[in-house]
Amino acid sequence: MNLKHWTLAGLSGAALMMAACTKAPPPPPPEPPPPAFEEPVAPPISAAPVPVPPVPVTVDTMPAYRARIQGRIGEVFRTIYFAFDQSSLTEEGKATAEAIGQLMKEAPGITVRIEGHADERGTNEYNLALGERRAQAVQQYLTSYGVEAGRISVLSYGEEKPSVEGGDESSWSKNRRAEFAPSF
Amino acid sequence: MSSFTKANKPFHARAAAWGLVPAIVLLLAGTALTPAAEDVVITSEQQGADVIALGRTDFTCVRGNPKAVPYNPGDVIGADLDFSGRFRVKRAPVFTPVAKALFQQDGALAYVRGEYALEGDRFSMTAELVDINTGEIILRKKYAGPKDAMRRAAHQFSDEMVFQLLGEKGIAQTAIAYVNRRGGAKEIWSMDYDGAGPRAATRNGSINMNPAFFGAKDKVLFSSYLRGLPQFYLTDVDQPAMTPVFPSRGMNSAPAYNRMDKELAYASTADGNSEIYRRAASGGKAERLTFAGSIETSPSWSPNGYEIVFVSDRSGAPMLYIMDRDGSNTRRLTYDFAYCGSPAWSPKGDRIAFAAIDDGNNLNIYTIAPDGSGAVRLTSGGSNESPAWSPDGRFIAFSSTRLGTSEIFVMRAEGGEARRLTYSGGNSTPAWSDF
Repeated sequence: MNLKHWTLAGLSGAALMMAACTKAPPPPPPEPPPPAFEEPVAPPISAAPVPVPPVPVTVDTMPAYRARIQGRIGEVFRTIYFAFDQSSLTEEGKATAEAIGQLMKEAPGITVRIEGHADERGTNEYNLALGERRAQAVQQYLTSYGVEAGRISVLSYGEEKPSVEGGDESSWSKNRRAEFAPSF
Repeated sequence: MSSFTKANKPFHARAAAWGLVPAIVLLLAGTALTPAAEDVVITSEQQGADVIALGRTDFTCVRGNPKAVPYNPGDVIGADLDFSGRFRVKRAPVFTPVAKALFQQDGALAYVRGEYALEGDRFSMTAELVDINTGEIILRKKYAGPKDAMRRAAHQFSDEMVFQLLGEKGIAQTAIAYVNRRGGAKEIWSMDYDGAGPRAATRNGSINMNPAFFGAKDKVLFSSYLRGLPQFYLTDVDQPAMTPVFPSRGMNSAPAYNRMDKELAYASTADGNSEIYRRAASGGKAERLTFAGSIETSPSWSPNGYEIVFVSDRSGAPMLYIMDRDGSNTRRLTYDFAYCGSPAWSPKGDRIAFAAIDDGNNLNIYTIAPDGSGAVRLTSGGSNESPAWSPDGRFIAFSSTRLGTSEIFVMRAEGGEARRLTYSGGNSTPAWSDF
């Protein structure tokens, strides 16, 4: 038995399970009966094959792996903000997107919905399209970073779902944003 | 006399058929129409001097408890006629010699009176337009139905007066659909054109937006996040429903109904970014009309269905453009603004209303001729958005934050004082029904 196969099977099983769950960051679902592991994560491809004992030692490392990735998700998927009527990423936005891309490449089980938003200025219809454009700008950044397009979906809420109520720039600047709803 | 006989052909023809010519000619002769002028047409531009003076009395409740309905039908009719801008109405509780003098002092030659009965769940009502001097009845209508419908009957009589005296359809029986926000939810609501009877047309707790009347006064098409990406649904304002229609990939929004050809124009991201599409209201395949790659949204049909005005930011900022119904012959309409949005083509075809930012952050309502000339600003104070024409083209409904929260207002198509229709806060994006 090859450990690599076990590991991939375990990861893709988790990925499939999570792909079915497309809602906002869910609490970790109850653990399925996990395959047994001897080591915390997949060893590099180049790693020498490890002899597998006839009876696997029942040290379950999947929860630890999942917890670690969940923790990273919480740190990395931060809201990206935009300038008025703009959909290009600021330097800060690019740094955030890069960290997200890095994590998504590291943990192929992560999928994400990017939700674009606009501030209340302007018309509802145009802002809907503007929010979409912002979400797509982030999506494009992630795919050009190497994240598979199929793992990213976009949605715009336009000006319909402000994060902050208020009619001044300090509120508006918090509402011109792309939020992330990652699943893992 | 002949001078305005020509202009008021519909009324004249009808009045002759009804044998009412003497009374009505007398009525109109008393107004400030200039007998010398050829082609006198009573238009909204001529308000003031050409307003017809009328008297009205309260309607008498002859049976039942008048407190069973929270209004007097005479008040509803009086408000309709006043609001139409074509009548100047003086009220007296009952027709007495003093009232007669009051009416005549104001130039009125006729007055509105009526009576009604409330029995069980039903009403009956008779409304009359009466010659002040002779007592002759110029117009009489009887109505009966469920008690809830008496208000509608009063509106019907108002429209009847507009039709008989001016030869045009009145708007007193029209409705306005809009979006009401409560917490994070946005529901579609509708109300009478005067703000009475607001009622929810959706109750799903999701975000519902962009209401548009869909071929009938009770059918509203809108876009909803109910199942994730915004998709179109149809509801009946009297029987709320969530009927999915025109399912499509991507986000679908900003529907506009073309009643000439029973078609829909709308914005969709089905092919990647927001572009404008057209499809038959009966279903069928959508045809993509724009290919600019920029944001294209907010289509509105010319009344003959030949052209579509829409928003595009292909120049950098959102501006208005007009294209033919097949997507060809696109030309830019607006230049002198920082931002233009939500165009609405007038029912007469001669103006396009829209919201624009010319300086600062606030939107204001403007109208412009379809050839790009004669832009006029109609609002000030707060942010004024989403203009919607009354079906007779004489009024524009819009949302405004001028009093703090966002409410629906109505103003004349030339601007001026606006009448507030909603009071609950969080009301936006009005759509005005057809007649």
